[in-house]
Amino acid sequence: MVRAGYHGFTGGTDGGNPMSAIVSGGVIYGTTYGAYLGIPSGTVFQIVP
Amino acid sequence: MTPGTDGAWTLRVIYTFENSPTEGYSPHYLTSGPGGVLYGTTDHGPTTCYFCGTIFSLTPPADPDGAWTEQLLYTFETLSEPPDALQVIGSNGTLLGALIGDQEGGVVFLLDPPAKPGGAWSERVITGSPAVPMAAIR
Repeated sequence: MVRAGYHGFTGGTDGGNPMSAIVSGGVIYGTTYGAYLGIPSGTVFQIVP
Repeated sequence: MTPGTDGAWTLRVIYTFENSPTEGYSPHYLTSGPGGVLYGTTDHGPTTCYFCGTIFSLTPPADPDGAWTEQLLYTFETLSEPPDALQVIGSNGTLLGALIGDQEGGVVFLLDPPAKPGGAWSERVITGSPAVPMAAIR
């Protein structure tokens, strides 16, 4: 089951648009694309239940 | 997966790319390897190579609250598109990846770790095809 809205990315320090996600060791890891030539220029994040 | 007992999920940014000369940016695909190491792709290269994709690793800290360590493993300077899929295969940490490519078709590649720590990773293009099986690699 997929439910949306566990986290709302703001485009600030969290990097904005999420691009991909995997599950490893019970933790979600994912990437955000970031701002064009801006900082952050993308992030890697984890979401821990 | 389910949220914690309080229903909350906790997000933590474990690494921020800053568009520097020593790393790519705009991370895209991730895969996990032995020891909890994450491997990923970026759609752009260091500031000196905007159209280059890269492969990077993120090594977890010994202390759960510590900082993850990012390392740029490889920059694709001769392939025209960034990698679109990545998996760890084999016990030596070889990475298998693919990219869609341009009009000449996609590419499946292997990225072999260096024989000695600190050495360079090496790329092997194993096939070029207009029908690269991305889903099988992701």
